[in-house]
Amino acid sequence: MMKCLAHSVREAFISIRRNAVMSLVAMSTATFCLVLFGAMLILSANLNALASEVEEQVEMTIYLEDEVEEAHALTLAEQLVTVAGVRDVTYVSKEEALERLCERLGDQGAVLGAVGGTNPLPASLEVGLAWPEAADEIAEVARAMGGVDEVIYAQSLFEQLLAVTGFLRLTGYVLVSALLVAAACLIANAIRLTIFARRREIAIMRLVGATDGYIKGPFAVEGLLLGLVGALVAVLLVSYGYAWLVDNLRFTIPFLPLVPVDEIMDTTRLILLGAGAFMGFSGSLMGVRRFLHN
Amino acid sequence: MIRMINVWKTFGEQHALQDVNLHVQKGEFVFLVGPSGAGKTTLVRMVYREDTPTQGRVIIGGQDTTRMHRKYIPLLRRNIGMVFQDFKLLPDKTVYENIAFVLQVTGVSGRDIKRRVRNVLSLVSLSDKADQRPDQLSGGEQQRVAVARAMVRDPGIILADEPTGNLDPATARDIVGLLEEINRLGCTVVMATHAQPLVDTMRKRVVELVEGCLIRDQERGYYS
Ligand SMILES: Nc1ncnc2c1ncn2[C@@H]1O[C@H](COP(=O)(O)OP(=O)(O)OP(=O)(O)O)[C@@H](O)[C@H]1O
Ligand SMILES: [Mg+2]
Repeated sequence: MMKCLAHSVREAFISIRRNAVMSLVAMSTATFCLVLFGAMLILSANLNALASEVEEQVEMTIYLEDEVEEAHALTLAEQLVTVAGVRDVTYVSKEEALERLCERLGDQGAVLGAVGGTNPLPASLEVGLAWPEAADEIAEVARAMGGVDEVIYAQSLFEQLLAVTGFLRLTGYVLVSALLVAAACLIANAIRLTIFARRREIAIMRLVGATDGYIKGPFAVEGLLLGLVGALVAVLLVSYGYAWLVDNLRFTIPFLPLVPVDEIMDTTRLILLGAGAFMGFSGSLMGVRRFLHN
Repeated sequence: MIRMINVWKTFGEQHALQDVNLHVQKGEFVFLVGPSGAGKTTLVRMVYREDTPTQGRVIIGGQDTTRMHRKYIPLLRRNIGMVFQDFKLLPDKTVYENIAFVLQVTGVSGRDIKRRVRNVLSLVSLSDKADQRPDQLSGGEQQRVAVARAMVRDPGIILADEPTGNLDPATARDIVGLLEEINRLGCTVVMATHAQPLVDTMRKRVVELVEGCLIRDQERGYYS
């Protein structure tokens, strides 16, 4: 077993050196595809972050009737928290509502004067939504509760937002999967060329009774190595590329919430290396199969 | 050692082998003769299970190769040494590596490999060329490497398909002499050939194919 592995590694290095140009082609194909893949990963992570950030900001306000006591309002809040899709519920009393208004307008006395001494603002429950899709149902539940006057939420805004973020994520995933398949095929093809150059050798090995595993071993290792090296280059390019982008966009488009480099790069690196190794490995096995089964 | 029972091989409309029955015992030396296209190569390919018959059975060393699972083919071939007209050496490996390689495939230990390769190299008188590549050797020398490679595992059978086809008569005699020596050590040898003088001087068993039919099987026979 160890002997076979050592043999495979040695033969793989010999083959890479001998087919330097082909190896380079396969490797840069891997790099090219993995850079695109990495870019997609980062883009999709950013879209996800953006989407969930926007989603988090979405809230629903439930206005209560005037005669509702604070105690009753708090039980309503407790009931609402248990409803699926509700992240949190905050009770805003009439006084707090007024304070907020005053804060916004500046002078409390003037406001009170304007409304004639009594507080006209209703108490309310502010509902944070865990996922905006549930907004309609939550509103339904709230309306059915006693003491609820009105439920307000930006229904169409929710829907638009959902449509946009959902679409962006879906396109991201579709693109990424398409890219992965294309990359695997390209690498399989490039490696197939190096195998094609050695088909005579493979035929002779089969003639003298080498097992399929013994023949495949070096190619699998070769593919693995090429995929890994290609991925390594891709990782470098993507890491520095994204760091540069974050640095520059921070000044030009400051409000764009880019995911910080540290937060995303570790997983991205791992995924790229894994994808590179896997593509190289399976690509070369795919390539060599054809020369074994005839 | 080799037994073919009612073997047919058909390519499309054409019968490459027609109802061939052949029994070669352990230690025999057999010449396979016949005009071009008679089916010699096709028959040899059946023995090392590069091909299976359209009909009939091929039994090698007691094993029915027609029903053999793919994964046992390498094991079958380890007991068969092969020599071809075009040598089939690995061009990027030295003479030594070309021979050592068939032992590595079977997992022989490093020290054993060295000893056995040196052994066969001296048998074919190529000890001084061990580090050369095939393209630095003459055709006869390359074929001697191929013979050394075929015998290094002490196989029960050696198959040679026109091993002298690319060689001058004197070199051809050398190669057949080597095969005869291996045969004397107990190895079964089957050699497909067009070399009439060789067959006529050696006086071994001769099997003749014509258009896929086995028409003659003669002890101490002549080419025709
Ligand atoms: N793979 C194949 N596909 C189609 N026909 C084939 C195939 N292999 C062999 N044949 C046919 O089978 C017949 C026998 O061929 P084979 O190679 O066995 O002859 P041979 O006796 O070895 O001839 P030679 O002395 O020229 O080497 C030929 O007519 C050939 O065209
Ligand atoms: Mg032939």
